[in-house]
Amino acid sequence: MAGLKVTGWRLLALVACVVLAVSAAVVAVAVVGPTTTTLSVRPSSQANSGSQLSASLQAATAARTSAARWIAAQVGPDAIVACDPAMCAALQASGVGAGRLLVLGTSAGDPLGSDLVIATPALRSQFGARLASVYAPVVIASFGAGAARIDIRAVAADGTAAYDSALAADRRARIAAGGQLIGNRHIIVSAAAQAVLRAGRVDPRLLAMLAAMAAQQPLRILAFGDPSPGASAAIPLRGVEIAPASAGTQAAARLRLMLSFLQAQQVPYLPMRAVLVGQSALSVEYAAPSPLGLLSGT
Amino acid sequence: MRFTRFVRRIILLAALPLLLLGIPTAALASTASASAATASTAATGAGWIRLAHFSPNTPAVDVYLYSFGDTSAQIVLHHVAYGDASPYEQVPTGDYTVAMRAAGASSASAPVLSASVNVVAGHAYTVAGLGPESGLRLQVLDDDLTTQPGQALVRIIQASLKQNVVSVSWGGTTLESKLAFGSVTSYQTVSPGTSTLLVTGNGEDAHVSIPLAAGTVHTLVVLDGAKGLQVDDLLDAAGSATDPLGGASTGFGGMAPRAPSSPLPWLAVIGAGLLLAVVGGRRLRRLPAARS
Repeated sequence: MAGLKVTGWRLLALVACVVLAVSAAVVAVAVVGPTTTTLSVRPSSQANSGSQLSASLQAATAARTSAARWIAAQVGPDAIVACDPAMCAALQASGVGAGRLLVLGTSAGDPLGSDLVIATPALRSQFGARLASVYAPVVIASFGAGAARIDIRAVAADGTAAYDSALAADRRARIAAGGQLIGNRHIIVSAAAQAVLRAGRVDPRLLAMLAAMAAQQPLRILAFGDPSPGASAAIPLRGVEIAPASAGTQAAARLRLMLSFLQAQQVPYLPMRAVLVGQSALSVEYAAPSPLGLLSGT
Repeated sequence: MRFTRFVRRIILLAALPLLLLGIPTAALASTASASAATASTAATGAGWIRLAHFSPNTPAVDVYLYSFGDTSAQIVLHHVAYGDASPYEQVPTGDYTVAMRAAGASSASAPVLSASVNVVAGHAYTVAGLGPESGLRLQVLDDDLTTQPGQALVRIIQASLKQNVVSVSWGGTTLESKLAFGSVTSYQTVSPGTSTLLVTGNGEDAHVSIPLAAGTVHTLVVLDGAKGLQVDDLLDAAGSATDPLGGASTGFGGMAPRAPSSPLPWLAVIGAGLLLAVVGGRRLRRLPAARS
């Protein structure tokens, strides 16, 4: 009987321990639970932040790649390009020679000595408002959006005021020259192209080339264009589509003559690209950036 | 009698302004006629261009000027060789593309565009081929046509490759020192007269007596001659009384300079004014005597 009593007390003590343990567990869950819940949220927040970061990185990389490809394809081989180290690496990966790159480290004071500067977020942060107001006032192409945006800017070697003045003088010369081309009896100009010529929006190399080519044979200007996304309105169009003035059996031969005329030229009048568009037209593109002062001659 | 006096006074009144106007107008006549060429050209919307070949090792070329707007205003100069400078050609104002072909090349071959020039009314330009053949460039030089009164203007083009750096002095005055091949100086004002132009290269020099008259504008070109350095004196303008003159005789056509208009009509006006004033004055002096 005494053994039973002892066993009974032991059983009671065991039950009490179990109850206490369960209670403690409940209390522990009640107290620690919210923290655990909070912790369980944290990994979710980090995942979102990570995906946002990943998206930003992807946007920056995409803008950098687009800018690098555009420069490799559109910028003249003589132009010196200033860039931050990451952008310069992207340019080299796109085939731009290291000799044409001016790498701007964090201690670089200015992008002078280059023809173009690639305004990445890093360089915008480094130079601040001076980049646009002092060194490179005009955007010739732009890629991406928001904080990841990359602008390609023309460097004003003699300062913004001198650059603006030269650009304005160049535009006046382009307007005058464009008006003369419209009056040239050997050139037929579409209405849209006339508007572009009158506005002085055509690259001076194109204007000079068209005048000389028209002296060889009458031609038709179909349209002006430019593969420079986001370029300032002050930047002239570097491309044109032309055709012989009269279509006919000789049209193909005339197109080939026009093409050989273009291929015989030298810098700065040698186009970056001159290709036949089907059997009826010729597409001509000059390299960026457009030169200033070419029409004034002196 | 009163009527006669009235008529005399009218004649006198008419003579006075004739006299007063005649003298300054006659004085201005030469100036007016002097600038008449420039003014008339400016009014008619024309300027001048001359083309020059100053690239020593570049073969002769045919040079073409294509107008942007006027297909009938094209200029072609055949076989322009080293040292040649065409006379000024009068061209309508506007833009032109300058192009070249090797001399005698087929007209079917493509000319190579070299420069653009914007011709402003009354202005003159030299489009010069400069530098070595490998780096040949056509440079458009804005030519000066007028000088300060009593002065002459001089500019130097260094086109000697054999003596690729030269110093140039005129009458003992240094005009340029260490002038590099292919470079062009700006115009400098010099006192008129005839003096010796001394061009000194590395161990070789040239002496040329050059008259620089007042009101004239010159471009002096240092060239490689058959027997060493040679200097060509291109007369850009002989005062504003005449159109720009041509350069070295190279067989090109060109404009003949216009003579200034004659001052005789204005002298006749002065004479008539003086005569009327004298006659009228004498008559007036007699009038009081006639009254008394």
